[in-house]
Amino acid sequence: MKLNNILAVVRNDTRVIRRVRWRMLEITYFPITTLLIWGMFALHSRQYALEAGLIVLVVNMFWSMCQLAQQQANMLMMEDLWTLSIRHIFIAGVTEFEYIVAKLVSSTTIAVTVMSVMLVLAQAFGAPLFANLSTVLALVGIALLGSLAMAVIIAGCVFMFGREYSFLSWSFLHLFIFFSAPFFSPTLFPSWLRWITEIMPFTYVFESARVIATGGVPAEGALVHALIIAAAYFVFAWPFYWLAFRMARRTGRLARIAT
Amino acid sequence: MHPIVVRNVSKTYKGRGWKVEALKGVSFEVKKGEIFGLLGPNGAGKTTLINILLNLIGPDTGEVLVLGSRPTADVLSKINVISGGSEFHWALTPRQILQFFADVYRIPNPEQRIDELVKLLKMEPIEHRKFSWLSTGEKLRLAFAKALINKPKVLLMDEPTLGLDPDVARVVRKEVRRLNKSGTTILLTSHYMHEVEQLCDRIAFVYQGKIVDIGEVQQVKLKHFATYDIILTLDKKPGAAFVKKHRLVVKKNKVRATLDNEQALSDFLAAVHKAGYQVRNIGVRKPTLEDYFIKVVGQQ
Repeated sequence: MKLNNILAVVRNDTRVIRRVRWRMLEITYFPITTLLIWGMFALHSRQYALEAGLIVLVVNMFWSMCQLAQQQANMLMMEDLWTLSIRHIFIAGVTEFEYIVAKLVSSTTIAVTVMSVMLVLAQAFGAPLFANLSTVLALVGIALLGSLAMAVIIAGCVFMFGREYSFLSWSFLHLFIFFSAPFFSPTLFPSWLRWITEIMPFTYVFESARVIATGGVPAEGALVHALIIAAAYFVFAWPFYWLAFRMARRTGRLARIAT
Repeated sequence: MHPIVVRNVSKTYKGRGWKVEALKGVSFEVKKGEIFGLLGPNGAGKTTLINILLNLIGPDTGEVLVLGSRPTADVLSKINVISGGSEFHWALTPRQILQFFADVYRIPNPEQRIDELVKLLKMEPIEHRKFSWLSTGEKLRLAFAKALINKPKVLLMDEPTLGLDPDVARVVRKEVRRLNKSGTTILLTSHYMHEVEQLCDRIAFVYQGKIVDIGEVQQVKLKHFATYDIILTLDKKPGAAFVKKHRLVVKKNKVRATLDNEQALSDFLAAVHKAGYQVRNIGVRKPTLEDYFIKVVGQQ
């Protein structure tokens, strides 16, 4: 893997984002407005002595960051597909791994920047995140790991099944978010469904976020569990992506995808 | 070792209820410093072959070697490609697009190299214009600049003048010749027979996934057309015996004879003279690659 190629793709993504100035607004618009809406709800619900507002606020921050990290990686790839420039990238000698790593670097930079802004803004709504900063940062890292794994899997699916599966960039993560029980305890699921929440990448992240939102300290075991599951997804994502890319090359879909 | 070696390459595309054999055991080599043309109708397998050389498609059987190795990322960084209708990111300018490729190909003094290319291809007025605002000819000039940025040892050209105005196409052909003179080996696919005829040292005719002919342009033409079409306008309509003897096609006082070689041509002209006909006009038509194309496709 050549660092030069990864940096070249990252620099190109930066050029694309800077060229379309409204894109910068679009990247921050959704997470920040979501934070403001639920922040106001948190303030409103305080008069009823409810912590629900803070729970929704903090969980939403993690949700937004996960979505941003995954979607930006896949959107940057989709732009290469839609503009048909992806063909030139691969035939210039950028490997499939250098390519996707570059997309992950770009999306991580964006997601971490926006999350930092959200962490600061959340203080205005009383979210006790700085009181537990090290745990929050650990959760950010774990959530990022899971989201990037999703981005790699989606990229693999698009190579394997074709450009028409681009819609996965928007919908894929939502299914995993639902089964990760964002705002509620997994015990609310029927017992036969609970095993699914156990293997979801964000279940323990959201669970820990809910605890932090109410001023508590998440159990160390929950963080370890969250890390193991996110890492498992991340480890699985790479061979899947490799296999999908090989299959796309073998079936001819790789050439079709970019013409 | 030749810069491009294709050995027994086959490729079949499959889907639910359909199967297309794009290539069936194709083999050929492109020699160092030559312009080699791949000729064939739509769907013949030319682009599949180019994509295999670029490692975008894996062959089912056989192998391709580019600069002596399989087309890995390292090999791809030493070659380049230009295809008709090349697209780049619509929001970027030609200079930004070239900056990306200069980064990937690790060009020393990238800005200087980009300046050289901008000047060479007369791109000064468009270098800061968004790609989406470029005309077809301007896009092609950018694609050319991108193809030259790493001074490739091998250049693959897939229908490079497709849809271009004749004047721009002429500029492209001039550039191809210049590039070839500087030592670049070129593999060219094209629909345009005259283009192939003008540029290529050797050609391979691909039809339905197979190479049906390969060799020097003149050699391939003569193999199928060891003939001259000669059209004479005589002072009067020739007699039936003369027409029969020389297998002529007659229309009023115009006769058309198909002759196998130059000797037959001079014998025929002597016979016309001896029979007492006066020649008012004479036209000799040599076969073109276009005739060859139509003939081969028709035969198949």
